[in-house]
Amino acid sequence: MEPMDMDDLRAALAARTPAPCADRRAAVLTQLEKNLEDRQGSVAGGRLTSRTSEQPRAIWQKLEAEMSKWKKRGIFLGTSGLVTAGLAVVVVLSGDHSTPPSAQYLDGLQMERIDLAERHQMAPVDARNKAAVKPVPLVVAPQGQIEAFAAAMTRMAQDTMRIAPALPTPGPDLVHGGMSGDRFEDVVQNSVKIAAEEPVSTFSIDVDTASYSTIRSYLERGQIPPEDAVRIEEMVNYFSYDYPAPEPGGIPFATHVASYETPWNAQTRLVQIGLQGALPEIEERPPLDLVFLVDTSGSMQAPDKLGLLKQSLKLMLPRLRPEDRVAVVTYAGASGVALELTNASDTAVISAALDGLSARGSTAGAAGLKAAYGLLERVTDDGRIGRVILATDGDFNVGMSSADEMKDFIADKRDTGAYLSVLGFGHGNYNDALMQALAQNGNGHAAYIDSLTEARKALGDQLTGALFPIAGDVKVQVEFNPSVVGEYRLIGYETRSLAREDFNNDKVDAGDLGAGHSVTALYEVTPVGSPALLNDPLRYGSAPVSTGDAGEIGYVKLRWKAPGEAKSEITSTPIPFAADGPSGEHRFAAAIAGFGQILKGGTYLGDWGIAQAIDLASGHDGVDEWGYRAEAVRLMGLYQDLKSIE
Amino acid sequence: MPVVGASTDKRLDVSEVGRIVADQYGRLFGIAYRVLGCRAEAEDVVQDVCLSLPDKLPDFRGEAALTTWLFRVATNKAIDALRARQSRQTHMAAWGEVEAFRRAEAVEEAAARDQLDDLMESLEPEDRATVALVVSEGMSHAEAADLLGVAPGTIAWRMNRIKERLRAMVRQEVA
Repeated sequence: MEPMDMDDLRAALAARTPAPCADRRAAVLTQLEKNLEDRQGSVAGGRLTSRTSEQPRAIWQKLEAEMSKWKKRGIFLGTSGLVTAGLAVVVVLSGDHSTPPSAQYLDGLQMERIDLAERHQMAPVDARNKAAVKPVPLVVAPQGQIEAFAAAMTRMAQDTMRIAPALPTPGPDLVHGGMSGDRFEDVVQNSVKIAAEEPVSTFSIDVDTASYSTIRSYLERGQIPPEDAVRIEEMVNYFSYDYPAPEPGGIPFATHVASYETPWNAQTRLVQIGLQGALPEIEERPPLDLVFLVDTSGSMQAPDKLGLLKQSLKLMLPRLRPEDRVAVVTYAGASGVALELTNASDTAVISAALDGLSARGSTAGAAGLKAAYGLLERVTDDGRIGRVILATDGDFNVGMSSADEMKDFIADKRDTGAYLSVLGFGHGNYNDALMQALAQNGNGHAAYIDSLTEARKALGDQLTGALFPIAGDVKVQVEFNPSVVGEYRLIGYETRSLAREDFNNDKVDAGDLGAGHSVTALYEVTPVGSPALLNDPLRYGSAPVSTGDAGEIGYVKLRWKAPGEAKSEITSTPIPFAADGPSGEHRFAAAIAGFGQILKGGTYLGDWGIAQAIDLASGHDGVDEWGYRAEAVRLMGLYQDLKSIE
Repeated sequence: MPVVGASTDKRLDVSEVGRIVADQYGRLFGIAYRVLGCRAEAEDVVQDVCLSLPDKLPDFRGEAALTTWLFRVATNKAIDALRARQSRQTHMAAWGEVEAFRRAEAVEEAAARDQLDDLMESLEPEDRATVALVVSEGMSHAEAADLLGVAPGTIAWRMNRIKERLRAMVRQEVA
């Protein structure tokens, strides 16, 4: 790259910049001074009068945020549908980093997106730098202000809830799935159960991670996420933990149970149940033929679209095996094959083809799709796996007579062994519903990519075999030992709870576990006789408690189905009452669960707050190759600042 | 650069705040103008930013935090104002009509227009902001990334792209 003379450019631009109007400047500065003086006389947390007039906009903006959350729930539901169809674990990355469509309504409210310190903006992508990412509290707001802010948030949430029923309902594509139909239903946090009265807790695993991306997108926009957007289990499961893999040839997943002192309450213990799916050797997977179907329409001409897409696809190349093949098909105006199927070892050729892509013209999606499948048709016979990876901002012009026809087309192709995944880029016209529907019909997943980190996560999963489910309908049932456990509480999984009898009912659907994926669930348990028990003993006594093994907190039973099987199998393991402290991995999981609870109001956390969560999360000693954990610490810091600023 | 600096425990005095804003007013306007390409809109943005400041005041410790905030909010507000304008235009009428109207309106400016203006005009809002911060304000990629809420790599990437287009423009000029 030849050096550009930046100084010349700077001078040229400066010559084109008029001076600000001096009168206007003086007027603004005078007004500012006046407002500052007024402000000094007002109470902390008081509102600026000028903001009052902007209130309707603020509510509108809030509504838009709510609506975008809906859309994300849509993706989430679609994902569940995918999972029930017996497909792979689906990574839905709906992280929406940049400004939302509501940006034009920017007003005083959004101005509160201030994050004081640059340190939260960029987390180093290296866990070894964790000292550098650990934020130091900078601003201490008066308590009254924090309370005022909390009250304001609550008010706003209530406003939104009141307005919510007037919102349009999502299309039928988005409403199917086994989840509650009302997207605005308040999910009540799991409450504390008395082990003697209700010793059994049952839930389905949850492999989605969308809630974490949603929370991240809120925080990065400078907003506190609404409590209903927070699903703690999805936050915890966003991260992978260092669970040992199962023995080959046995059960396709390993169960790891541990108990350790609860970080936010020394009187209770956390029980961590981790499932680690087997990861078939990458050599065992059949060779892949990947056709990148790249949207090069004019709307893709943006750094966070075509630029990011090229980078993402290049990132993927080193992870392919030499016998894998890659082709590139573009669609825009006339669609065309930019690169025939080429061995992945020819990285230079593939890179050059990607570099040659440029955005122009409008979209002819259907023709592109046909061309992409056309390349695969010639090769699907010899045991190779064909997959079209559609990369688009959703400006997908349906050349076939209808979207339904396109879905049918994709479904037909799926039956011939050619699958479709969708990578979404950019903002503004990303068509969630269509993309999700296309991916579902194509046995693939839809991922939303807004950064290279997300690209790595989404594409890495795709290639390491995570698209193969290893256990279907995985259910967890925990029986607590009432002679040891007084009370217990499942953290998260509110939307995944099952009736006790559903555990043994193979007709009842549950989440699937993909190759190499892990799932974590946490219970907070209070020992019998502990001062931390929340329920008083009954005056007239309760039913006599049978004495179990005092060395066991409880017993975990897991049901799952081998892929394609209708009948479930069962495995079980006791939860030992170990006196161990938490390992670094436990600490990180607990920190994320604690953060999730803080976001949901922190009912059970006592004095334990965001500063403690940051300490705990920073103290993990796990591998953080791609900086996901560092990012979590950064988000916690952002939250801390947002809270303290108000 | 004044954008990044160690925070102090000192709370800002009201008179100091006035001085800091007065000092930065020109630069804030420059950034907003660079993004919006329209003087009146840039003035509006700067006014909004300045007048929303008193509400934030108790939160700032030290000049650096305040200056960072001013830059960040001005940049983002300008980007949002540009997007709002663009979406208004899309909704109002066919692009050509609006474009013709806008150009006629700016007829005296049009005489002075050259390819660099056209280039700036063709950039996406975020790219314009990147130019404003990195080229005009001379910020590092990390500083610009911080203000825009993206990764430094994104800024580097945008700058490469912008330079590439500049080079293409220069080549065109030569040809």
